[in-house]
Amino acid sequence: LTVILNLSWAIVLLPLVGVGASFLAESPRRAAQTGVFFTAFALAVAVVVLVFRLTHQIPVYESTETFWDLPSTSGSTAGQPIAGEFPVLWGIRVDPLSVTFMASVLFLSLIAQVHALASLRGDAGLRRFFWVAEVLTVGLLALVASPNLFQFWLGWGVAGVAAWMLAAHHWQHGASAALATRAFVLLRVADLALLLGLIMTFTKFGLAVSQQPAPNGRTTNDPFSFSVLTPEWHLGHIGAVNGVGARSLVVIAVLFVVAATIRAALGPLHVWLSGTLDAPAAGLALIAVSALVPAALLLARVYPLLIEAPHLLTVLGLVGAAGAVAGAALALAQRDLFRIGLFAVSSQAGLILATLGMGGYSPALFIAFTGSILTVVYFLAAGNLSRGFRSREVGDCGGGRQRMPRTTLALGGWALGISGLSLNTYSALSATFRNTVPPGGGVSHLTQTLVALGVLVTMALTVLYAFRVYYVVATGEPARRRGFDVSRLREVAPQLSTTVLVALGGAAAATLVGIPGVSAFRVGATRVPGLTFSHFIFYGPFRQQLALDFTALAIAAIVCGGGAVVAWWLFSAGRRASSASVRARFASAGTALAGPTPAERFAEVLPAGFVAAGTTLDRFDHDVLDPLSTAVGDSVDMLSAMLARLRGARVGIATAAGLGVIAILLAATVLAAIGHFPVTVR
Amino acid sequence: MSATLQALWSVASTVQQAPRVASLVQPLLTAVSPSLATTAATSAPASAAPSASLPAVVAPTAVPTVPATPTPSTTTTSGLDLPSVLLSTVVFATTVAALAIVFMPERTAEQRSRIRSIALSASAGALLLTLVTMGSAVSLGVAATPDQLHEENATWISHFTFAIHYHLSADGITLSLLVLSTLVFTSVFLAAWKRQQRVRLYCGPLLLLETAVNGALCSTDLVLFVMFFAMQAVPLYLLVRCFGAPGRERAAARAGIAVLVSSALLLVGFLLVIVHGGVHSSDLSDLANATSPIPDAVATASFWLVFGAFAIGFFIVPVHTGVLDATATASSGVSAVIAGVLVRLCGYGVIRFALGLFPAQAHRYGPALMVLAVLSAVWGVLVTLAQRNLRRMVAGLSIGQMSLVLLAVAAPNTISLDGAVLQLVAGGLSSALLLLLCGAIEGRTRSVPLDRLGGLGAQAPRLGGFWIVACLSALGAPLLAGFSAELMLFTGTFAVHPYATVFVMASTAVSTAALLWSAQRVFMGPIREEYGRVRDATALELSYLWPLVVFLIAFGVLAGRVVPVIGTGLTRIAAALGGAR
Repeated sequence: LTVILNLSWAIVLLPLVGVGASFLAESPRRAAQTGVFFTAFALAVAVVVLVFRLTHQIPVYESTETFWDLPSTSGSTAGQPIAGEFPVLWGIRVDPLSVTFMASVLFLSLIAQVHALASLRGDAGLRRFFWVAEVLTVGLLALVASPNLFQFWLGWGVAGVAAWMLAAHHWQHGASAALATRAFVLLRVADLALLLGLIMTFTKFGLAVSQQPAPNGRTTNDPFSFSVLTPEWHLGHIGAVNGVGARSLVVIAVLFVVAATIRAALGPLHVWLSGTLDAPAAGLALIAVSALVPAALLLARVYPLLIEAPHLLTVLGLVGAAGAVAGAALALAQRDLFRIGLFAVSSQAGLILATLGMGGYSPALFIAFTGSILTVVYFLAAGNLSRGFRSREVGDCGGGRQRMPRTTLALGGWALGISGLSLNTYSALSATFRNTVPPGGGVSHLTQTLVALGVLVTMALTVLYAFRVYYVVATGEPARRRGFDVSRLREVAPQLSTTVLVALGGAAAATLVGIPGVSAFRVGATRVPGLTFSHFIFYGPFRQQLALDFTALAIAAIVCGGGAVVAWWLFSAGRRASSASVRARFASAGTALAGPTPAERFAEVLPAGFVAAGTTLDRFDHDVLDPLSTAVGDSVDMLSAMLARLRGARVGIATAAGLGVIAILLAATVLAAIGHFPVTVR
Repeated sequence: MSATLQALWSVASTVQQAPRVASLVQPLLTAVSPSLATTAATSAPASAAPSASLPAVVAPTAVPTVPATPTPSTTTTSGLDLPSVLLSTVVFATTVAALAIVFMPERTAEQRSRIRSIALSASAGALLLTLVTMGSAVSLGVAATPDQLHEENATWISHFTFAIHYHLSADGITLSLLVLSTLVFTSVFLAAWKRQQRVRLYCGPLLLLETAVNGALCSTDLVLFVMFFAMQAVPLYLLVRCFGAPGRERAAARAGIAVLVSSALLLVGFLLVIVHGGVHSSDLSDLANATSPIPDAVATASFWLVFGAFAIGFFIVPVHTGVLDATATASSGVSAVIAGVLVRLCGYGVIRFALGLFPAQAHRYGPALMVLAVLSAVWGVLVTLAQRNLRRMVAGLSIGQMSLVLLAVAAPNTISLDGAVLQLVAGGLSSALLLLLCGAIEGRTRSVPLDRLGGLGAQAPRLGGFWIVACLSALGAPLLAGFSAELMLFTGTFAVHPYATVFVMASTAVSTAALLWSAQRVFMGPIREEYGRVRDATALELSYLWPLVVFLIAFGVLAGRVVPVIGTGLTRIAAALGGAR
């Protein structure tokens, strides 16, 4: 049994081998193929483990190695002892959540890499793209399979660095590089929030964890282990952990939530993702995955803490709902294909948070699961469209159904999926209606109503922005521009369009496992496991077989269908004349929202503020502190000038003096070393 | 056969590999010569014995348990009681080379090449010995590693009112910093391989500077430490004065005077401790074992004298400008030594002496140090952001790095101090790498103002890659040396000064911006016409850049192996701090 479970090590390490192998490949193209091969290999192994885990009811399996083990910790000067031990481990955790998302991440990475094989053909940075993509995959896998907070942070950081490198792929363009840098700096804020949460967890719970009996084969507990911390968080909530109260739990939980919201690019913290928009489409797809998956996984892993921390779920729900609405509204106003994708990610992240806030652990992860796939579909399709139409403006596109049928089909699939067919909006709404906050949490009816309202508005706006893109691209004719010959517009290379369709197939398959109410069944003597997402991934010790919520389903269907009709009336080429006045009102509102958001403007101004402050301090150094030390230094110069006047060779004097001192020192020490220094005679 | 094994044992003893080699040689010795084997068997546990007495967990209220001081006048135990000269070799190999160089002519290219070869060989030899020793310590692990891994102790001057010892020792802290020091110096000598002018004047003082640094790192006697510390002044003055950029005269004078003032403060501070210590010895071990406490007023004065002495070279605001100026003005190799090694030596001094000798004062004035750390962190990153000169920007980065170390000193416990030592090494490596790269860039572009650089990545992708690795390590990216250091440091300090830790952590986010913007301004963006003919890193440059990168990665990935070794050196300090509370 453990042999198959230990294959998870291989899943994480195979892409890492791919990174090394891609360096050894003789040509960039070969390096790219090597990367794809190792990702595919890892995906095959991940599928084996996933199937095995699906068909076997086994407890959570962990295999860890020591990263460091610091035996003694003491000497705190504030009189507050730190935990007795400070071991740090890394390894794998095989549970339904990890095996599902490992397979998902690898599938998406493979899709993006295959797409990049064709879309980046001849690109000077081909080799770099692929090894960075592999590094990002390793980072994501490390955090998905992480048994503890430390490794989670490790993978989180690796994925962040890789995301920055993907964003700066076209580093020759000064603006792209500057935006990528800004993105990474903001990501570092999320890193630091996570690090602070991790440190505070250790400070508050380390001592208690070290006093718990250690698992077999170890002398101490892992103070960052999710398995160990889950009961400790509960003990902290009931006041059974020394020095831990409600405030500690809230602060730690807030730090994790802040890290997750920045990472997930939830508005107005989406600024980092907007800095990556100059990356290649495949890179953007991977970056989007690295935004959604880590954020969702972090919140899922620390969910026991979020429940125990008072009012945290309420805040999470409200922040998520507000972010989802803002993301969807901004997506509707955008004209740039990639910026629409950015705000779609932001909106999906909001839905995840809102759903988690309402106790929908499994539905929230389902949204992350399908949302990440749909995001990849969109960014790859947008890449194809911008390649075909030679523009990133939605308004420049048109007639895609005839000229780029496969890509347009994929875009249509995405529009349907994100509008509700993938059951993402249904999941959020049903969780909100159900309000299944586990014991310990607790969300008021007012919060529930507000979140439900937010989800509903998000649903409506999502349908509008998704179908707006689809109708504008699919119908009518492309805008006539200088240098763009409409008659030469063709579907992009088959590899590019097929890849998007395969990704769409993945999204469809993911949707199928989300259909509620399907549990294990028998065909004759054979037991077929229920592939329902909530049946496999659930919070707590018991399976959470979610029943179908007809109300939510009906509302989702109505909003999806109604929204699609409204969008058709507004944006379809054939109906544009009749809806001109409404569209004009939309356009005026959209103009205000389409440009840089206040947060983006603030991020542009902020560095200048820091530089101004630094310049002031530097001037203080120069005008006040420098003269003080210079005055002392000048006295030495005067002394050396006097010596120079005496002999005319200041360097010679200094050298001679220095060497003389050294020679005396050397002789004395050598004599002392052998016990014959003259002055030791008493 | 017996003679061969005896010779093998002697070699092993000499390089202080006794415990490890003993386990390998023991069966063979037993088979060949039982009497010799008995000698070996009795000696091996002797060197490993202190580890057994190390407390696994030092309780916060524990009475200080300081390991017994080794008996003076004998060298480290070894199988055949041969004197160990390992540390003396590491320290003085470069001095011997310097003295040899002084008498060598440098008229022809061949003669200059000979001088460079001798300098490089001496430095590389010291590096090799240090690496072997570090490797041995790492492979032995914490269970088998004694408190003082290597020790040479002889009474030197005893006719004063107190005895001065020639006492060199290397525990985990020293070894880690020795690796840093010898590696950086070797890299700098390699970087100077093509130098054709005043080779002797460059290599000689640099070798002496290495002796001073390594000697100070190994010194366990206070007076010996001051001597080695003060020994930096002349070589540093010469190197900055003769090989710097415009303004070097002033910078050299300021750097020289900074070292001399530091040395004077140290001497006064240490003398106060020695005189009031009541043990008639300047040996740190003896002073640690002193039964009569030093009067509080004297200890307080000594603490601030010692701290002030190191603060001058430590980039602590407001006394940071002297050394900063030297770093920005000296040649790139010397800058790398200053920011990579000399500054870290001061950090080492604060941990070893200010904390080790004055735990009660460190505890009492921790909040004041914390304020200084926060001030330096904020000041450092902001000043770094404002720089328009690449070298000054990298030098300014060190202010922020050293503020992390100061924060650990303000909140000392084993975790934070482990992190601080690792941060010294990580910061030293990344700063040295960045400054050597600055030299490579200056050599190609004849320009250092940031606004005149850009787009070099197309011509010099390898240099760009090295720069990014150094930046990532400096900002604590995963699996690089800075990563483990920051995790441990912040974990340790947060328990004591949570708000200050948050402030300093926030400052690291801003320093991330400064570092990445430097990479962006220098290497990214459109290719500039004037740099169209810039070449990428040469084989020579790769030969000294790669080792620094490898060690940055090694200290990150193998942190789990290095940290326990560093921890052995902190046991004494932790015990003293535990007792002081």
